[in-house]
Amino acid sequence: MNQSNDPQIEAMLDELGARTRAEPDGGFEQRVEQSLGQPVPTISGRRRIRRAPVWLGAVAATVAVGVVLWPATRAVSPGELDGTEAAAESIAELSFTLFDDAFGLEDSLAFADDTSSTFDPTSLDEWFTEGEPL
Amino acid sequence: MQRAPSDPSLDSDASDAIVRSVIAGEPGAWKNLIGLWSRRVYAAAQSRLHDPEAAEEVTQSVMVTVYEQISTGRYAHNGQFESWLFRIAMNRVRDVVRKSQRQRTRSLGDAAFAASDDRMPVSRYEASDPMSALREAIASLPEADQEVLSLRHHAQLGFAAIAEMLGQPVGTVLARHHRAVAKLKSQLESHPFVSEAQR
Repeated sequence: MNQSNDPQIEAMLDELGARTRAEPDGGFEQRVEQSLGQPVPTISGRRRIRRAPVWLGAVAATVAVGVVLWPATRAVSPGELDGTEAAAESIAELSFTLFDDAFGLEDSLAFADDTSSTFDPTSLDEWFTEGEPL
Repeated sequence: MQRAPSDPSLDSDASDAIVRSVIAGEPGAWKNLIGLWSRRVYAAAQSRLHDPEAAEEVTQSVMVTVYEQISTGRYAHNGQFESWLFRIAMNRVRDVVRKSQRQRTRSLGDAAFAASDDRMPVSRYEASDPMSALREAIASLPEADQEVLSLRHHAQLGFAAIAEMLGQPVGTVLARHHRAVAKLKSQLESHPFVSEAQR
């Protein structure tokens, strides 16, 4: 039997095979090597080692720049401190003071004190037995 | 009759030495094994799947299986490593092709399509590539013919290894290859680049 029935077609097939073997990039063998020792990847599971996408580097760089720059934008210069902030001895104390200023914490606590001092538990019994007048 | 491999890296003694060094656990042996066979596995898979990502995934999957079998002592080396390796590879390829067919059947809801078209599409290739006509001609062949061509020209296996792998006599494999090449020739005769070369 003559196996080389058409040298031209066979040469084309060899060329196609060579091109296909050359398709993967330079990191191909390394990715294959890295996959050894891992559980057998399921074809549909797509657990294979992949090339790191380009956008991953861009996101990492953006986050890194943000981490460096953001604290600088939040920094308060000594000239901006008022008396309260300057007098605070700790971050916790300063936070409490600023919260109190913003939400009127002292007023809220005073209202709670008034409510507890005037509350009469027996009035609940009357409410349950007689019902609240409409 | 059997064409000698032109690539010296395919020397059977050298291949055998690499497999033995892997089994012996020699440092760097896996790198040599991967260097010698991974692109050939990739090419065999890619020639059938026409999907570089899927072909690379199949290659990794095959190599992981080989690694597990050898490192756990379940592979008994008898000089037929290539046949074993590519049998695993072609089984994985068939799995992917079947899965792809099922997905296409589901997405199209057309069982008749699946019955008439049992191949992966080749449309990922550019039409301007002169090899595209060859790829399309190969894709039009029966599965068994495609497999022999893939193992011979993409995986660079000898006919004896292909015969061993497929469990067929060497003569049968040679005849199938001969017929497949003849079919390709008849399909490509009208193509400009083939007819130009023949003039």
